[in-house]
Amino acid sequence: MSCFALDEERFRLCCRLLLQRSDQLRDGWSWNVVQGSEEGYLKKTVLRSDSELHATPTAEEQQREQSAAAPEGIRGHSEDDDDEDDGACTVLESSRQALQYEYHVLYSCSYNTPVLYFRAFTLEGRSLSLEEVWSSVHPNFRLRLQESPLDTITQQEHPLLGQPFFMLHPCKTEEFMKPLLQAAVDQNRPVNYVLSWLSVVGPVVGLHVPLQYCETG
Amino acid sequence: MAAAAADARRVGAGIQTGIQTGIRRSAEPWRDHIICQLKHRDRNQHVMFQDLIRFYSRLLEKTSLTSGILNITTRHPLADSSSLTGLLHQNHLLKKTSGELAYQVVERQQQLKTKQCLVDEQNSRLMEERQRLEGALGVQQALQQRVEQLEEQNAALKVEYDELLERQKEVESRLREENLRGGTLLEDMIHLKKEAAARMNIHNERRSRARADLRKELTAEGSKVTEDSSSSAPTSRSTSPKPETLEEPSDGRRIRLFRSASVSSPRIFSSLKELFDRKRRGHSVCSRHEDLVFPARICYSARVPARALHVLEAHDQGINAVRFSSSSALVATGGTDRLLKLWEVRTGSLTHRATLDGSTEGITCIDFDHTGSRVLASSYDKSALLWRLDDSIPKVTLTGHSRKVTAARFCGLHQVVTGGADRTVRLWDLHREACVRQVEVKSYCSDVVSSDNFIISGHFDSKIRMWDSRAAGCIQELPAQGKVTSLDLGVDQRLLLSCCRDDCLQIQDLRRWSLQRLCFRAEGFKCGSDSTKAVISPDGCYVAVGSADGAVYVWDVSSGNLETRLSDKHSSSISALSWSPSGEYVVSVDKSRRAVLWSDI
Amino acid sequence: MADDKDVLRDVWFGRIPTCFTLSQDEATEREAEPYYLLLPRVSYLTLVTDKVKKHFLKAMRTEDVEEMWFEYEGTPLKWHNPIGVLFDLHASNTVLPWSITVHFKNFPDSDLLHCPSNSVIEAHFMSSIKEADALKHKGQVVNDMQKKDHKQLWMGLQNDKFDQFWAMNRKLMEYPTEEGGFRYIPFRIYQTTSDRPFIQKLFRPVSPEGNTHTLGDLLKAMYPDALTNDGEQKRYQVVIHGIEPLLETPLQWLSEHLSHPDNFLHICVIPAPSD
Repeated sequence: MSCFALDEERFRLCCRLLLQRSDQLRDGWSWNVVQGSEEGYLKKTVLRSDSELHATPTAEEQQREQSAAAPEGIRGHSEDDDDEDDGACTVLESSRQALQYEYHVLYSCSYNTPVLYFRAFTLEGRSLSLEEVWSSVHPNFRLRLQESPLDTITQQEHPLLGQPFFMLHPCKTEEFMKPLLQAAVDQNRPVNYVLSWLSVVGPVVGLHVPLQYCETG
Repeated sequence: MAAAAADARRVGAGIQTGIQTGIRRSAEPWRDHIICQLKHRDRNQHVMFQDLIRFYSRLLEKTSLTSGILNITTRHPLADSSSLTGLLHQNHLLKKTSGELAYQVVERQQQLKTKQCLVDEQNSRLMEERQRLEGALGVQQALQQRVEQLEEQNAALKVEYDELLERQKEVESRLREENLRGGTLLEDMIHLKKEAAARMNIHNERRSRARADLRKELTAEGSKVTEDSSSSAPTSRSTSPKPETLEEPSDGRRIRLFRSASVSSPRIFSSLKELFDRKRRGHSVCSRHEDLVFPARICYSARVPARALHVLEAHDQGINAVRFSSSSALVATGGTDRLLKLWEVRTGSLTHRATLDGSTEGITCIDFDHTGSRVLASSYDKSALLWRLDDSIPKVTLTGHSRKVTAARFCGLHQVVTGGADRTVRLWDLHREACVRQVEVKSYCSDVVSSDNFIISGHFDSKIRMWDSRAAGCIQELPAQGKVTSLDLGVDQRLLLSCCRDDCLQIQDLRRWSLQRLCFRAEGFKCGSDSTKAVISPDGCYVAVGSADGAVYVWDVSSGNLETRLSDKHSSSISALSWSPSGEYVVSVDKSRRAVLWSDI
Repeated sequence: MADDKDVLRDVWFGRIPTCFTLSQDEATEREAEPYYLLLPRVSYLTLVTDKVKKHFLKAMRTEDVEEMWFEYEGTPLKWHNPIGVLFDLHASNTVLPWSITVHFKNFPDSDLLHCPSNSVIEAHFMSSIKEADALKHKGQVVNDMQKKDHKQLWMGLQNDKFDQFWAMNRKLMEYPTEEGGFRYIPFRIYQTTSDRPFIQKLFRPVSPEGNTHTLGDLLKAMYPDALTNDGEQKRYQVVIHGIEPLLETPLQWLSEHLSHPDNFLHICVIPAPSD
């Protein structure tokens, strides 16, 4: 049991490894320290297309979305291969409206797990409401999560910044991380808890973790 | 599993907090501080504002209401001020509605009144019902009490009934026994009758044969006479001599027959009868006053035994009791062999005179009546038996004790007192052959004695109890040294001797009513059993008892010193002694069948 | 236990007299009277201000009404903190009643959480309880509870039913005898001097040597500045539920008795009044 729990020190270590790899891959993660304390968090800002965010897109939009989704997947790889300079901003040219997503990874000492906080703004600086955030969740995830919506994505105060953020609730984290870590232990394979966790929960809210992280990590 | 563990943990926690808070409370300033501060906070922030805010809210509500109304009323005139008729019309309408409302008010008031009446009525009915309920409750209670009483009575009756049933059963079983006995007796009688008939037949036969012989003789003689007197008087010879000669011999026969009948009665008793007849003859004028007339035979000086005159094995088994008759001529012994034997004291030896049987168990105690014609014995078979000395079969059997009878004594001529292991002392009437009184005592009764007015019983709880022989109830309890094994009352009925299990004899003077006691102990004297019997000499000067080592101890009452110690004759524990009323003899009996006759000669 | 139960009652029934006034910025049809209310300390602003909203809406045009929010002397009040914490943190040494300004416009997105319905409050409340239980019992107690038990806790708070709430909350306050307390004490220390909303770390009720930790021990570890050194002027007040408990008060006891219904011990460190 204890080997699957994450204490703060291991969280820091995992974050450092992730940051190293992120720097290599230019994935845009950074470590932010709260003023006046040793605590900090991982942060990444991403620009996303607004088109994904509509819960019931029109037929026209749907078409566009499909056409845009394919190149995105391909370009996701090419982008890293290209060693593009600005890894922090993945701009989609095809979208008319872009949203800025800000992801924070914090450590929850209550649950001994990492927690994903995020918020989203329009380019004009208006922050998105919970409904808008929900509509951005991929329909596959949405169906699953919406069974108990308030347990999964909620608006919460950022424990370090004191500002409203959206949060994926950590109380189920241990549950789904356990088999994953067990498998790693069984195969005697080193595993980065934070990275593995992020690759599971990130996609739900549009945060993709490239496969390259694992190749040499 | 985890859940169970968690449950256990929580229960533990609950207890813990309970205990901790219990201990903590006494001396912990932080708790009082918090409580005090909370009260202070509430006073400042809550209590002070509570009413203010409530009143404000109410006021706010009212003002909003009034402002709403004002809005409406201010708006209306604006709209309708143009026409006066409209106003008038409105006024008219208002009047009409107010009239209607007034009517409604009156109506409502009436309704209210009737409702009020109804309510009053209901109330009074309610009161009535309540009173009735109370009454009913009272009755119910009384009835319940009755029920309880009746139940109690029923229970008592049930107990009585059970008792009666028990008694009926007992009586029935006794009836059955008696019937059985009646049957056997009847058989015996028939048998005896048959024997008697056979005997009679033999006699008759013999007589007829004799008669035949006589006739032959007569005829022979007659022929002779007729031959002799044929010359002198033939007519008278032939008629008159015949009946005469016939009668004379037949008379002689009859006397002989009578004699032979008297011979057939038990020969032993004829000698006893003589013995008693001698005594009785002087006083037999009026048998009813026998006990009153009978003088107390006071012996002026008892002689201290010194020598064994006669030693004999008196019974087949241990001897428990011995007693001289009032005439000093007879001694009765009783033993475990269930027999009571009578011995004549003659010329310094004991001669066996008779054996009385009837008891089905060992004899525990023996007593003669004043007249010396009856002997009483108590038995292990839960009964007391009374024999007349001229009959070997018990005349009366007194049954009723539930365990062995330890003592039986005559109490006057017509009453008997017995004490038993069943912790009862019973008084029996010999005429009715029934128990006339029964006293339950707390302890095993080992011996009883009776005087003119009292019955005195000795018990294993170290108490001697005195009972009035006429009224019920214990008069006095005298303490003893230990378990009382026997009692003896002096001839003058003044001194009471008791023998205790703790190897001590004590004498109390009953006239003095004091608890003063004289104790007699001696080195070597050991009370051999729970029924060891001690005696006072007939002159009241000595006391005697047999010890467990087979020695007889005699003390002088006035000095309290040991007078003599007679050993060597008994080889086992002496169970009882008896001092002859004449003062001459002492007989001691032991557990190994031996009886010894002592005297000073 | 009798006076401990009284403490629980006093904590539950703590009230703050409050005066709500409509913001000057709001466009009104007519002047709105201030509204006075006794606010329960353990509840949440948005849960108990329906009447306030109704009162001020009377004076407003519906087209001007957006989400209601509250402000005290320029500080937007975070509804997700218990009312008592807001008061103690921002207004404890001011004149009563507490004067709160009500807004229906310009919701400060960057400061406050949205509260569209009571179910949001319920979710927030339950999430706090879960987190507290994760600290106290690794979440075992709250996970063993049924859905209706969770509902009972919430309904107890919503309807101000002390007995209903504590009948269930009692289970959350149990702990194994041999450990002398919870696994960790769920606490949050608030202060106004930095942007950081609160301090929350792991802290055990009993030291490794087996000594009972006190409130003073906690502050020494988490916020040493809050303590007054010998001979020093008192700079900070440590306030829980509007009172200043003694620093030697055992932390476990405080957690059991002075926690808010969300099962956290909310501690406010505020500057001591200068006079």
